[in-house]
Amino acid sequence: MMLRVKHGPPQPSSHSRTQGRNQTRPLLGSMFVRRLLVLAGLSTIIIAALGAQLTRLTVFEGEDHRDTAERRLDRVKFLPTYRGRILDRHGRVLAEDRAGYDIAFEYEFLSGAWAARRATQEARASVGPSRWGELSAAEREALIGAALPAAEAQAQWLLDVVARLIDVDGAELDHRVDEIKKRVHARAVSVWDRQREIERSRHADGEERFTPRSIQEHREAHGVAQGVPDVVAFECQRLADEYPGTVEVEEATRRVYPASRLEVELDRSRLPRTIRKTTSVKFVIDGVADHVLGELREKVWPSDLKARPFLDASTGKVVDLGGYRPGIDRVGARGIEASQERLLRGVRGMEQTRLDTGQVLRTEPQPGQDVALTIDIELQAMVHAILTPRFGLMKVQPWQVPNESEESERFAAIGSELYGAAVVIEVDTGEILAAVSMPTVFHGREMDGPQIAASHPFVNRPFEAPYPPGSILKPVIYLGAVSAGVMRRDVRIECNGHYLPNDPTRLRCWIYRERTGFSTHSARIGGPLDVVEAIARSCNIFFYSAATRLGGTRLVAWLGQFGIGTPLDCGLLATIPDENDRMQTVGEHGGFLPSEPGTLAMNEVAQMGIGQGPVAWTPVQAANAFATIARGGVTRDATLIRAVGSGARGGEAASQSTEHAFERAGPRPDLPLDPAAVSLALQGLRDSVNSDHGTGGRLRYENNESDPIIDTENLLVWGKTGTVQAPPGPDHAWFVGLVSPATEGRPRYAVAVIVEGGRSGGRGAGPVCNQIIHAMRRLGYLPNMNTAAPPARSDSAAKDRDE
Amino acid sequence: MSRTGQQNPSAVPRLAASGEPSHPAAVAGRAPYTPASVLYTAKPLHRPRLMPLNGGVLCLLASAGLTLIGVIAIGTTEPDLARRQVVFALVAVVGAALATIPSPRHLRAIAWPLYGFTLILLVFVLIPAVPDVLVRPRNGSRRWINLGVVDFQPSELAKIAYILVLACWLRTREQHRNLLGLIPPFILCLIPMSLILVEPDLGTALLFVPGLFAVLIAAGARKRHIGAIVGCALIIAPLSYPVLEPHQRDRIDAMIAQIRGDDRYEQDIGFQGSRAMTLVGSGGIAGVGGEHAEALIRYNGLPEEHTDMIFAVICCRWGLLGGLTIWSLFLLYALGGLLIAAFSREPFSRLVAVGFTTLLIVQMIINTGMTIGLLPITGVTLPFISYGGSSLVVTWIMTGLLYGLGLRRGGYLVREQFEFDGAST
Repeated sequence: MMLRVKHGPPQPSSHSRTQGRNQTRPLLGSMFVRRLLVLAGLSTIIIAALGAQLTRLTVFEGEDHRDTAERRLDRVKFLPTYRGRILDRHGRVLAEDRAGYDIAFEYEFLSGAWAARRATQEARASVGPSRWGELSAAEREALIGAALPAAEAQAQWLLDVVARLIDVDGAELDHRVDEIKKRVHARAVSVWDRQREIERSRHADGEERFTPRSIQEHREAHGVAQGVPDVVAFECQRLADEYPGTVEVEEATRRVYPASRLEVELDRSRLPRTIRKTTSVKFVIDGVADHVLGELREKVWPSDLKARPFLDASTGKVVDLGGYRPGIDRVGARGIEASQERLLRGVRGMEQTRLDTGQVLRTEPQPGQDVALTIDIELQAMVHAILTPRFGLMKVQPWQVPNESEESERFAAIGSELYGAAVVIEVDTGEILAAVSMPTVFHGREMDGPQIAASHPFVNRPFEAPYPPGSILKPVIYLGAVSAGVMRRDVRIECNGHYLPNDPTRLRCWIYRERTGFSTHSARIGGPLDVVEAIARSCNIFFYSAATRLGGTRLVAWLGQFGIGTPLDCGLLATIPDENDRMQTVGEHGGFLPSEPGTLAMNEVAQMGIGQGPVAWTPVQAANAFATIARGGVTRDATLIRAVGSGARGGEAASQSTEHAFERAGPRPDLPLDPAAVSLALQGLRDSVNSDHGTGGRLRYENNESDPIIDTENLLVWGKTGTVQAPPGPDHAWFVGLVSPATEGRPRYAVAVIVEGGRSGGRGAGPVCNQIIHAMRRLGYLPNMNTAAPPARSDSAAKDRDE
Repeated sequence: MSRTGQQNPSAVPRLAASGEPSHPAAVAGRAPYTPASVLYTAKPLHRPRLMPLNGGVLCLLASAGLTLIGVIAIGTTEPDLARRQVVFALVAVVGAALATIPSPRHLRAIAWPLYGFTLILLVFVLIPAVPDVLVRPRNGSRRWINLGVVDFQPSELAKIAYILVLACWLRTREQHRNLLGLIPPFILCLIPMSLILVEPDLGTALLFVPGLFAVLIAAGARKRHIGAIVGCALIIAPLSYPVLEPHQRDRIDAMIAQIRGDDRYEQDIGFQGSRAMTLVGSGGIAGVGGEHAEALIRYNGLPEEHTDMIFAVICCRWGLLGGLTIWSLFLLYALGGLLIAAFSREPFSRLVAVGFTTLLIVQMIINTGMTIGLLPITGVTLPFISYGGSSLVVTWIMTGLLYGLGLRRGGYLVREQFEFDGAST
């Protein structure tokens, strides 16, 4: 103890404060108290900082935290739904969801984590929970290690049992498991790389800070067998219940296309005589209507999520039960699956269980709507078979390459495959009964790179591939000139081989060439040609004249009225993002028309008159144009969609939904076609097919034999051939026909065929059209050759067939 | 030069506010002093008057309020444990009442023996040879002695003992004004602290340090010494990161990530912190009420909701207002303790009051700080409120001791204590 003694006289003033100890001294004079205040102040400041943080959490972020906490009180289960079916015109199912079971293993089971957990449980059970709590980490590790081999053996036993159940041998299952592990590991590495990159870009030392954490695939189950029978699924479910965390039985719906593979029998007795056979041939067709139906993709794209999100990105709440969930949903990738995605897609259901009250709120799932197409799948399959090279018509045949020196030197390749398209439309309704594109997607999948580049199998030719029309445009040109009043309908025009009087080298008629001795049509018939002759003989001069009289502007406008330049919107239009993520409309092509018709030169206009030059259209547009002519100008655009929704089963018609990039002002108006002119044009088309001089009349062989191109027994057939120059390759062959039973006066069906490289319309495409007409006879659309009775099958009968 | 209570010799100063008559000790400073006068300082000449209305009343009120709130909060999710907590509270109040009986002199007498006894217990707990019946390990750490009915934690006793010993040491010394004089207090603190660290119990060990600093500051250690030591500690602390155990490092990582808004640890090591913060925030301003709070806490899976994370339960149930109430009650307690320190004349009482108050406040700060995400998760509970018999009894005993100290203001006229003003501080 140290006692201080103050030496010297006391100083009253400075010590006055120490007097009167019973009065409370001003405490602040005391250093101790000041120190206390410092401590008090320090703690107050700290608590104030804590208070600020608490205020931040409760007041400013309170809502968010409350939402997060409340959300954990909800257990949400989503109820699956079905995608709508796609049906053909008779109600046959072309695409549908089929329920099934997949067998999957949890990744933790495959990686060994399940065995480790099992060993932990065993070790803990062996010493008892209270003792377990007393052990240190090292001791626990030792016990777990001792129990591990037994757990791993059990895991292996489970794998063997499942392998037996799903009927694969052990090695195959091991192989599948290895595939899964490899895939997950690769995915994990890529995810971690990406995360590492993000970390590195965020912080300077991001590299060291990054620790890989488990990715979603590590927490999921992975399939080893799809579509197993119910019995197997039941057994596996028993295993799953007994050993949780190992095997999973997942309900999986698959999209199946039941009519994708069909068997077809084709009669060969009416083929061109060099390939004619008395026996019929059977085809097993794979990928029937695959261009039209399309397919689904497993990946959900950002554009899908943007268009129809399932969750709100910021709050994580469900906004649209019909929205897309990445990794789970399938989306239409092309064809009807893509263009009618909105209708076909179903809406999920939701079951919300409130954990504290036990309340359950259930929203029922809604399946997608069915879409009924106008396609008759049997006709489609038969046309498909007709277009396969194996049948014989889509191959370079000797009769296509007549024995002329110039041709046979350049392009002879007898037997090589030809590709093309065919469309069949019902005139009165505009419904497309068949639309085949060759090669199909199925065949495209079997091709290698160069073959794909050469043959473009994924292009849906009837709807997406524009070709110059060639001579088949001629009736349209004539009707345009007559409607514009620049030509009398009974006009006669001289064919002197070349349009320009003083220039025999340009704008020639096809007949004016060396091998015919520079013949002219007028020479052949002894005078100028009227439109009937001109169409039947396909004289170019007539139509050069008609086109130049119309002039570029009126001609282009007329063609636009006929539907060239904009897609017909048959039901295949879809908007998808391109590689730059800009939305584009695909699925159908509108053909080409010159954008500045006023600047066309005279010879370009003339060329357009015979369907060459800056004009192109798709096969469906060709058939549609001829159907329009057959209807006398009434516009009824070709369509693939017959009915939607519950109406799909009943067969009522429904309107299209067009939410696509291009907008039409409204349905196109009917065309002002002069009925008498139409009648003359149709006459010309009849003569083309039914007379010897018509370009569509007879198929001539080398030995001067010939066969009719179209067998017209019991039918009325109108047709037009077209040969389109397509340098540097061989010419394309067009044939468009109108056909009806002989008892009806008006065309009932329009058929358009294009054979790429078919060299001559009549020779290349004509026989194909003939076979299509035979197929239609066989299916009852048209009367057979030996009976004179009208067909039992009319459109209404077809509707009743499968009701 | 210290001022003495020495002035006009003729005027006998009234030295005690309680009205004690002056006695020869009053003039002890007059020089020279006689052994007799020294003796006089060693024991009271009469029983000093008691001051029932002292700062300790605030402490008692605050403790009662906090205990009550604690029982209700525990009852939100665990009604059985709340009932047991009531039993503990009754025992604790009895213990506190008993603790008001000893005077500072008695406490000084037992301080060093208690300290020694505590050290023996701490070593005893660590000896591997001790059978598990007596020292029951939990998660591999050995901290508790099994007394049959309850488990007793020597580290709780160590907190009281070392404060008492520290106050004893610094009571009449001045060496702590020098840097070297700070070494003995540090050693007094470090011995039990290191024994506790070995258990391992980092949370409790960390509480020793602020107590030490607070007592030193109150006792008059120079600011620059304290500042230098704190500065060195702040520099060394981040360097100790690699020496920490993995789970301790994990908690620091998780806290840093949480502060940055990085949620990568949310599912594993950051789980407790993130759930706690979510529940704290979801209380809003006024809380969500008992039943709903119970549902939220259960389904958000808050771990340790009746011990470490009880503050989150309070903020969930009573919101911002509930949290502020808790802090206010603790501040009230601190006010009471500091009033005791300010008004007491006995140097020992002053330092003990500062020490106990600091222990409680720092523990509260660490616990609430970790609940709201400003500090890494440690195993530190909230005094008076968290479920736990030994902790509740010990803190009530501390409160009782404080009240006892405040009751006996003392008035030994040795000199003014801890008034080093006039010298450079």
